[in-house]
Amino acid sequence: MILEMKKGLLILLGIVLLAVAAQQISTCCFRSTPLQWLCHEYGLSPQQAERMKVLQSEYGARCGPFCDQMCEANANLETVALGSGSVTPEVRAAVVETDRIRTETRIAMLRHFYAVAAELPAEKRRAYLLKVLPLTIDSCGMQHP
Amino acid sequence: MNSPDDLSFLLQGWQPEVTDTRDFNRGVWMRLEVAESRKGIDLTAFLAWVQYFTRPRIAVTAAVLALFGGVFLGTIQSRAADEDQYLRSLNPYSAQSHQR
Repeated sequence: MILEMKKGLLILLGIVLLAVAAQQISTCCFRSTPLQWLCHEYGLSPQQAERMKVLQSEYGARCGPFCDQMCEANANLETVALGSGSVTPEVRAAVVETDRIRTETRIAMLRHFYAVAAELPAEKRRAYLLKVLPLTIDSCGMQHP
Repeated sequence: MNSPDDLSFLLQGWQPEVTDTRDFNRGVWMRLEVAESRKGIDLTAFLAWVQYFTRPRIAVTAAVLALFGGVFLGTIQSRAADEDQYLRSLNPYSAQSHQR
């Protein structure tokens, strides 16, 4: 009786380990690149996939410099703000500069989103935009239908 | 409406019901014993249930279900991670997109 219980417990443990191992291995094995995910998720053809690759590459080249600009602008804002006791014209200008870069970035992002959406099947464009738009639009807790 | 005399009459006939503390203590111990014995039943039931896995057919079925369940869960998790990675690649300020 006790031997049967031990055997049963061991088998159960083995089954649990098997499930965990299967989950871990499949999580690793089924991973893909961001572009592969996009093509799979929206059922794109190889030609459309190539177009996406070009779009993504252009987007990276266009938006990459914004990161450096934003880092510089933020560092400048920090320096100016720490050296001031009130909102001086310099502080205001530094804030405006960070907002300007942020706005340019958001516009570039939106252009890219629309370019990608235009390549997707018509019925999937809205779903794609709903997924990516929160990256450019600050959430205020509203839910889209 | 009752008069004060009626109320006095009612109060005279009222007997407070005070529970015997010995009964109360006994009741608490009995409830504790029942709760303990239930735990024993749960463990016994679990060990009896575990014995089913010694039957080859049940063990194989459970293993296959665990395998498929694990793969299914892993697939869902990997797709969610891929989606997250794609969204991060769109953010110009994330380290990942900056590396491109």
